[in-house]
Amino acid sequence: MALELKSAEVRARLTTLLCVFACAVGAAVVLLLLLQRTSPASQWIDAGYFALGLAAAAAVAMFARLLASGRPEPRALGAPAVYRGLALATDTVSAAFFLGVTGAVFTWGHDGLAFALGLGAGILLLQLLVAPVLPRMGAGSVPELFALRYGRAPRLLAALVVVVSMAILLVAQLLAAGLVGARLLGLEFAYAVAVAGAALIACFVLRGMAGTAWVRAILFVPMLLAFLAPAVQLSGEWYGLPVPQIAYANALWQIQGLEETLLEQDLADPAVLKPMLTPFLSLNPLNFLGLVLGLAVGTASLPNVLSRHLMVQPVRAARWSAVWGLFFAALLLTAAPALAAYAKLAVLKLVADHTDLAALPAWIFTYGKLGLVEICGRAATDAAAVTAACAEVPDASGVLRLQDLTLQPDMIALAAPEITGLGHAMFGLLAAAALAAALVTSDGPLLAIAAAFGWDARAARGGAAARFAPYAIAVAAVVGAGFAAATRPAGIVTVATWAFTLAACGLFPALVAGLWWRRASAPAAVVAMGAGLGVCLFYLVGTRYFAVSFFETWQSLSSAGPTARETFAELKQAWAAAEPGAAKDAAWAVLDAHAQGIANWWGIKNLATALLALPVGIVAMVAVSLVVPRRLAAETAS
Amino acid sequence: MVDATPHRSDGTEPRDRSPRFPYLALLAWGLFAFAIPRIGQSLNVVDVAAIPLGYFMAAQGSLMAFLVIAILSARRQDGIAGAGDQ
Repeated sequence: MALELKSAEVRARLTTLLCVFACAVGAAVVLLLLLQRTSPASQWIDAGYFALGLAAAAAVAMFARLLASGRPEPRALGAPAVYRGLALATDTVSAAFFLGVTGAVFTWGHDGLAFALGLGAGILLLQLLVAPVLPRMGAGSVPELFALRYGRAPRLLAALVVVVSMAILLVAQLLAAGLVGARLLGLEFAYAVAVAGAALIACFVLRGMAGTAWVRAILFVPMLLAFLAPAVQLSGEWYGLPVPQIAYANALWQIQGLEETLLEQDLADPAVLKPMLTPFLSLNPLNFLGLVLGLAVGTASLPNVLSRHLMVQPVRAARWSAVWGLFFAALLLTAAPALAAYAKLAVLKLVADHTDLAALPAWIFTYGKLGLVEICGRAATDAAAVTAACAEVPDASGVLRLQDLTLQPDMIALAAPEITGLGHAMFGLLAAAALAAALVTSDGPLLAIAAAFGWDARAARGGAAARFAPYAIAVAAVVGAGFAAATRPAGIVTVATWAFTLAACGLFPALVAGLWWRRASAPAAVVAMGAGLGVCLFYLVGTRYFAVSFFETWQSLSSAGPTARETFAELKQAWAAAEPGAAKDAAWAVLDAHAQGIANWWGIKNLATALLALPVGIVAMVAVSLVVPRRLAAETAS
Repeated sequence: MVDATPHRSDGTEPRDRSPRFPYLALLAWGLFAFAIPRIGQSLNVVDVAAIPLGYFMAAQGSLMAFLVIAILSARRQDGIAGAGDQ
């Protein structure tokens, strides 16, 4: 009865807040559209969209604080499963995949679908294996769960995995926010990341440690609308059917036809053009499945998803919140291939029209100035730069060819409305939604990191030091992640996938065994987490940051062919022979880039690291649990 | 140490009329996440809604299948638990 009252009370408050939120966002959008009529696409309008994103994130943070004021935990019980599902979808998709999946499908064609597939499979795995059992454990965070189930040492190791994986996820969110900031404010990427980091900290402080986590559910609605709006409009305008999930079939056939035309007309190099519908051209089957595995298992053990709002709730709500989460995530993820196909079609048409290098559309230079578009190997900052760069290419013809054009995958979703010729408002709303998503969904990783250090909502209600500590940790995490993001370590989806893979390899075997297998013991959890995290970190860091020495050490296991090995030897010699200074640095950059392509074990790319580290963790978990006597294991845990 | 095995508040074990369901659900999960995408090239010879089947399954079909499995699983768990854990 008491629960029903709370539920009704929360629902009434939430409805009021939702109305206020919708009215405020609607009014801001109308204002921006009116302003745009007077001066289309000016820098001030773009700054307005940036402010809209900031305001939406701040509003969500404020609502979280308002809803939680007084008694945070019991109130969380009142949230209906559908809101929790929305929050789960927001956390899982987050800004990283909101922007990233479309770009991955655009660039890799069929193989980019692995990201959407992995996220969907992960939410189902969460529903099948984890969510229904979690509320029975009585924990509020992943480390607390490990402390309750296994004891102190596994708790510490779990906290380490949480900190590492969540810090990397934070880097991905800051990359997304930095990209939007750079585009809307015209800032350099590093400064845009700094602005986004400051906004992130402000939102986190505004929200407070006790803020109700599932309130971020309300953000998923604008995210979904902003993402679907361009896809729906293009489907309606181009094919007369405003259902992108069906209408984009037309675009796929047109793309297939254009790909053949470009090859026939010598506007595309067969070595560069990867037909969109043909599978396993960018990722071989092993890597495709490894990527799906890492994302799926990572989603099911992601510390920011397995947070208090999923753990402290009625068991029935836990089952259905994952179902709703999957439903909402699938709505967005199934539209991403459509948006990618429309953007791809527009780009292929641009090339097929024999577009003169002096008459390229404005969006190329807009993103070229941000270093996201290269033509003939140089940033496409303006028409003169493009013409000069292409004049140096031996077989240049004065028109744009597919092999001359390089678009960074990260920019595709953001730029899709501009690439396809939609109004500036579509772009602005998508950018504002992406920024708000990045700022709001970064709360999850920050709270998970604070909880890993023992500072959660309950601890933060203690003395002054206890109230201050979580914010200090959050600031340190954002500053560290900001510096890492400013170096652009990799694409947004790649960095987010690393975070998911680390969570998968470090936490999943011990987590699921702890929930379902009575025999699972503390020593086994320690060994499994240590081995999983160790192998995963070693492979990720080794293949990305120490590729040259990794390849030299493990070249007998590498899948590199004889030609690639010869090239490596030649580049190594060139680097050794280069004069110290800029020439040596340039030679090293070329050598390192080549090594990153061949530094692997059995051809497994670092996106598919789960294939290596997850089995190690599972075998360690089972073997040590069976080998260590139960009495000894119980003593270790206590 | 906490025992996570599902129990009812009256101490009796919940009755499960389809004990093999979790294994079948996980099998179906593996099928739609790994097996079907693996044979995407072969599936592409068939079209669904004018989209090659292999591409359709990776883009939308598997996600729809996951949703169906999730709904079936949640309904089954509700059935086992009854009103005991509301």
